[in-house]
Amino acid sequence: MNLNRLKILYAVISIIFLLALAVSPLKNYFKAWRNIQNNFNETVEKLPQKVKPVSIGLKQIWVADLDRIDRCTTCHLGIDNSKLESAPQPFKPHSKIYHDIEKFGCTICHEGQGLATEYDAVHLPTEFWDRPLLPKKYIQSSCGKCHINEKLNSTHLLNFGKELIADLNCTGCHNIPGIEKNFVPLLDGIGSKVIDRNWLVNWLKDPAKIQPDTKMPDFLLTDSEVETLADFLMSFKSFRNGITLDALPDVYYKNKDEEDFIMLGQTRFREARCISCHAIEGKGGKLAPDLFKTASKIKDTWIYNYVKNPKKLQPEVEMPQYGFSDEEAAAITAYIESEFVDWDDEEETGSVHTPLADFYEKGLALFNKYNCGGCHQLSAKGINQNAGPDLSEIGSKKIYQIDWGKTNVTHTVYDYIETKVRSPREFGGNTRMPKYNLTERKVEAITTYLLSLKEEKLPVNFIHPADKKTESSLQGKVGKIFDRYACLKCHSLNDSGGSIAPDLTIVSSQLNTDWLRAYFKIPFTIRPIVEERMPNLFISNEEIEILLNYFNTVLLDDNLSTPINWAVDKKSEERGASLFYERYGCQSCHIIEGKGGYVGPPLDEAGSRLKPGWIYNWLMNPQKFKPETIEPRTEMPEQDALDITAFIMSLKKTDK
Amino acid sequence: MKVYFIDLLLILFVSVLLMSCQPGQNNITNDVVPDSSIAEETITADDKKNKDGYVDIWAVYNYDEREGKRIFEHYCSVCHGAGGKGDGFNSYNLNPKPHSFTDSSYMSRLSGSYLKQVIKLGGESLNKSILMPAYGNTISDLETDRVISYIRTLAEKENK
Repeated sequence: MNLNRLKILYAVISIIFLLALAVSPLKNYFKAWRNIQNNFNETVEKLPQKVKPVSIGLKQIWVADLDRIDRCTTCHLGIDNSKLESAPQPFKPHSKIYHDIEKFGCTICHEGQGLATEYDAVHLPTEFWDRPLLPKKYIQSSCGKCHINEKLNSTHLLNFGKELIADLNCTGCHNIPGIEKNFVPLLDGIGSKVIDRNWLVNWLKDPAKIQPDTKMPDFLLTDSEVETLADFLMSFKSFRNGITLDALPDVYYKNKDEEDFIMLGQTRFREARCISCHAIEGKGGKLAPDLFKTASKIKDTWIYNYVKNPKKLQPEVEMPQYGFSDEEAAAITAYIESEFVDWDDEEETGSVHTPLADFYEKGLALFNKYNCGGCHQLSAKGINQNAGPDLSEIGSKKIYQIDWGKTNVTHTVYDYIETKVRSPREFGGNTRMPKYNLTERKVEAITTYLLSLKEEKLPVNFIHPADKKTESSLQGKVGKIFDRYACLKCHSLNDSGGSIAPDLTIVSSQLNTDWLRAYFKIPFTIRPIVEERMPNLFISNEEIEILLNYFNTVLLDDNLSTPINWAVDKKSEERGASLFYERYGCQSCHIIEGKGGYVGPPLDEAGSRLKPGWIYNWLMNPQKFKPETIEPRTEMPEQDALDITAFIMSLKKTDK
Repeated sequence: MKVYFIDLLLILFVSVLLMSCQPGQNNITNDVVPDSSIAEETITADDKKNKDGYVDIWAVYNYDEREGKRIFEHYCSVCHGAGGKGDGFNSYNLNPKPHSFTDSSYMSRLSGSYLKQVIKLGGESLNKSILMPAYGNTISDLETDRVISYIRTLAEKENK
């Protein structure tokens, strides 16, 4: 009996033991992915198209080069099978991309835990995995890991983020590699520039209230900080390098309220197309500050000096130095003084403000605390660079390194960056970061770019760094003229410069010299719908000749010519006209004699403006010269292109 | 006695096995894994627009449609309009004017290959307006497919 009981005990223990041992294989056997794979085989059977069922088992992509093993394909079984387009997730194929999934794996772009096979561990943020699956909106950050500064078409958000970071001058405080610094006004002489201290006080309190599109962020200063900083800044009365302001000419004081004088200023203001760059009440260009209310901010003497020569007061500014006479500059000043006034401005109370005794030391300390010197230059002793955190590897920040404060933000790097960009003081602590007025799309873009800045070292053969820009710095007389009129703020030359006006690299192969000469004198808009317009620079004849000479000797492409034996005749012209209208439908986009579309430039007088070699080569392959142009490449036969060229060349300017 | 124990063991083992089989996880693909395409179908652009005109394109469109949207806005929108209504700024210079892509009864009659041909070979190739140029040498096959998948969403949106 005793022995029997022992036997029973033994048997029970063995069973328990066996069961315990069975737990692990059973757990494995009942993993969700097995069901999903069975489900896949069932789904596939029902489909009309033939798809091979899979054998049950873990699937993985091993990318040795990147040291990654991704088991995503265990469930995402149709990832490279276009026959499964209509299948439910997770069996849908991946959209066609430019990378081979076998070579790159999944987590190199999507992040997440490649080895995991449980749904939550793979797809959701977890406490111990620093890089959970990226939300779709940030996916482009992964492109930026290899395609460094490449500006791909498909990564518009990443490109936009980079532009914003440059535009908002984030590099004033943060180290972000590959971002250029932007122009920010230097503050020497600010005490002689602004009309009164009140303006500065209001500005520092909330810059966007005065200038809605300003790039200056709100530092959320306390009232006493604002007062002290304003006193500190107002004490800088003299300009850099001993420069003094020219006095306004007598004609200004005599005529500043005369209608004719103001009209002269307004005419010059319009001819100079100031609104190409400056907006007025939000209407106009975005390259320079809005001029609305300028007269309530800046003293007239400063405006006069600045209009005459912007670089005297702000050496790095990219505003052209127009060839205005003193009287014209004074008239423009009078126009600005009469028009751009803040009528809601409170009347001066008349009370004289006396700063505290230690305003300078306190002001300097505040100036340093908020790192104003990161963006604005100021010649004063004791200014230190007091930069913010280095962001060159921010995308790889570990979750444990982040101070989450009292927020409810999900603990992921992308949520951290997004929140920080949107409302910088959210996480508390001693942060000094100012608040930028950003739309949601801009927050997304900046976050995407910052996420692309990783610590991770990828193999060299994966990295696609963009070619370094070769800054073309023009020398001599031409260089001086380009500099003086800030040509490269709008135009580009050999891949550097602005993007709002045509590229000048082969301008002399495109445009007729006589046409160009006249255009400098009376510029006009070639395209009826383009906002930015070439200003009248009031450039001297001598300077025009120097430029034309330079264009004609350097800015050419020798390959842009028509075939040697090309002869224009009436027949060719007529054939060209019928091809233009009836074969290629060019009138969809181009106007001739008042009829046609607004997309491309009107072609009346194109025969006087363009050179035949350019028209011909452009017609053969527009994208070769301007990759982003929407004019389609038609692959037209050579003879068609020649005939259309003959037709366009016949559209000459006629003196009426 | 021995046989009894082995039987017992077997019965226990099998019952454990059967129990583990019970949980109805057969439909796991539909329940556990969120189907992103479902969200994409039910949310229209207008639903997701907040006060500063922000559209959550990530929820509304899939990758192909987003790429198609970008290409459409670059090449096509000047005439066909950003919303595909045939009201681009240049449409007023065209005769005939472009047809609206939001007209679902019209669009549903056009097959994918028909749309592809119009884009690649121009309106002329199908006896439509010559003012629609051929883009076959300018944008690739893949890009054309993406544009078409975006154009399809325009009609669907109007339907809702």
